[in-house]
Amino acid sequence: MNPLNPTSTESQVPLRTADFPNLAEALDYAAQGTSGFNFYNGRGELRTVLTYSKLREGAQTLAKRLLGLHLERGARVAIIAETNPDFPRFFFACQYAGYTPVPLPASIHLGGHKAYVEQLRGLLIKSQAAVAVAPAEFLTFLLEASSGLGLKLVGQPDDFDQLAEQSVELFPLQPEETAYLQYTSGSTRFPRGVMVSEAAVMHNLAGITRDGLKVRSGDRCVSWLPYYHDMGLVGFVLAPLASQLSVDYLSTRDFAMRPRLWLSLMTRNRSTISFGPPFGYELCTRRIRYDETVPLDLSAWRVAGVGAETIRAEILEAFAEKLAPYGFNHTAFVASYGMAECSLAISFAQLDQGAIVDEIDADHLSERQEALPVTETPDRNDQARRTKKLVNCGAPLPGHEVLVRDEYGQALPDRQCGTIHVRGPSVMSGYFGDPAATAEILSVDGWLNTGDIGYLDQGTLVITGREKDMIIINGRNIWPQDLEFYAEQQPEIRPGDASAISVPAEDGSEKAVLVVQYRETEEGKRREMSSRIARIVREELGIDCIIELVPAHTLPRTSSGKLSRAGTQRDYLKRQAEKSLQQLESSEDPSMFVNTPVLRIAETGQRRAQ
Amino acid sequence: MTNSQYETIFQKVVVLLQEYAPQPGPIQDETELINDLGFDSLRVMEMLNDVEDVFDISYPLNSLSDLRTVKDFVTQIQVIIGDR
Repeated sequence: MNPLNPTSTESQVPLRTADFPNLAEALDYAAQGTSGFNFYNGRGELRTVLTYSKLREGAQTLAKRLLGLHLERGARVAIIAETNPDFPRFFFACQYAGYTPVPLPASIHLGGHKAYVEQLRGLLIKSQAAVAVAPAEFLTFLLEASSGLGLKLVGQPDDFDQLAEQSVELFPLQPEETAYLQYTSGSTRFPRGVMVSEAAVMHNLAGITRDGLKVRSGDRCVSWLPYYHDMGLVGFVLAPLASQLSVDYLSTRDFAMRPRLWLSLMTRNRSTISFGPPFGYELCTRRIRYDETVPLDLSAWRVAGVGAETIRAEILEAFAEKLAPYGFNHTAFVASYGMAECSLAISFAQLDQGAIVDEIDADHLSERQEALPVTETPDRNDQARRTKKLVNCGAPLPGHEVLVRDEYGQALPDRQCGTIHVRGPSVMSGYFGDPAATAEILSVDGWLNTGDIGYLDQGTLVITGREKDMIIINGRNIWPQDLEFYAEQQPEIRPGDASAISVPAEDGSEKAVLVVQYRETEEGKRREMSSRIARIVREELGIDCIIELVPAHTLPRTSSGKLSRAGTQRDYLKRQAEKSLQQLESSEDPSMFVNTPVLRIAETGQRRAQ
Repeated sequence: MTNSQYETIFQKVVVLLQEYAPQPGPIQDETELINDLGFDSLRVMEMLNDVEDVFDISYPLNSLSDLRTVKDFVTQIQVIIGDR
């Protein structure tokens, strides 16, 4: 029998929605109640219970130990952010001690030992970390990564717990100070640390809990999102804590292995709030089998949040259909939009409405950058016109302004596509130690260029694309620069000889393609090169990438001589289409090729390229 | 650790690899999960679910980082079973 009981859903203190000056005071208040964090293992068993009261006590003690290291105020404390109770304890110890926590990724790819160590090392250097802590299983990686960097202390939690407790009064981080550094933004090779002030994150937490999710007594959260991502950290550590809600955690690894555990936890504790990227919902739809011995009951789930990547309505529809027999109500879907540069959230769709889908004329969108609802298309019976189902992400949080601008910076009217800009109290202070990168996207008058493409519809936001050229695989942002870098690192390949793009896969998701100029004509050497680059990409990023080798001078360039990724994509799809046609012509049974993915990709691509 | 134990684990691992490999092919000690069988991170997680059930073990996430060949995999499982 399991002797542990999860923390209560009702906190026993009056609910407050993040109306605190800083995170430390948010925890001080939550600690007066009985709610907190619960950690479950890969078998769905409750392993550790951390009430907010215990978290506060542990964090304050640890803060007094950390102060014995005599670091400067605001010094960076790097924490490998695995889903375990030590992460919130270290994060909040920093809050009380006046240090800046820096969550580091705890994600390891198959055969990716070296890549992971290099990534950690890059982040330790970039954040100028003073000390670093890792759970025991990650310590060897951290020690390798920090070797020779002169950090004051690198160890596992035990090592820090052995420091002498100082008899000092704690002076927590104040509203204008940096609450944490978030390294989700930027590429693996060239990371950017988002600096979020206490005031900014508190504004965002209030917006999330009070306005977006309308948190109420009886709410309970479940999360498998990694702590080192903004949605996992701000959305499911800080927001519940700042509104005194209990959270049940499952590690990302355990979710990826057994997606059903997510829904079992929702069932067991009658949870009401959980978020995931579309890929998380898709994984459930694909992997969960009907099993009457382990019944699911999702009827309490009132906020099924979706965000972090472009939302395709079809994925949500499939999930809702599959889980409806288990009490899942499709009206629970809440589409959201946000980014680490705005703490986390920018907008939420209205609650209890489900996914609000805007079905638009896709051809008109690509030709005129205007989103025309299909009902208003001149000839609505014209079957040849393609349509696109886009999900509305709702109105911006109170106190925040959103503008859609054209390439000259002019604000665009409703339904005209452009780059989304945001201004408001949740926007970051800048990128740590990188004023040039900050100036690129944050204007002096406070407008943040999100780089995402979308349009406004009566004050609500619809996202049609994201940051130019970004590739999204399984909910993760893959920067084309990273893929190109791995190819260019090969002695036979020169800088500028590789261009990375995304193409639609047969199931509607995305596939990464790396087009590489390679002079060698000998078949064996070409095969070796393709598989070498594909292997490096898998080791470094854990994704599959199609490698296409092309002759020199094939990659298209812009007038200024830069590689044109849009041109690369257009040419690649054209080559694929030609290949399919050749296959078709040489085939005895042409019908078998009609539905090949390549043909369908080619068709979409040609349309896109118009 | 004995050779016969290695062999037993190997046989079971082969069955699982064949079921989950994106590019199935002949499987030997030196067959590589990524390069020969086409595994990516997500697919491996799917397979690990069965690996944990079949061997009744908990496979530590950090072990993935040093997993290249089938032999690495079988040896890792052997060590985990031995430590239990």
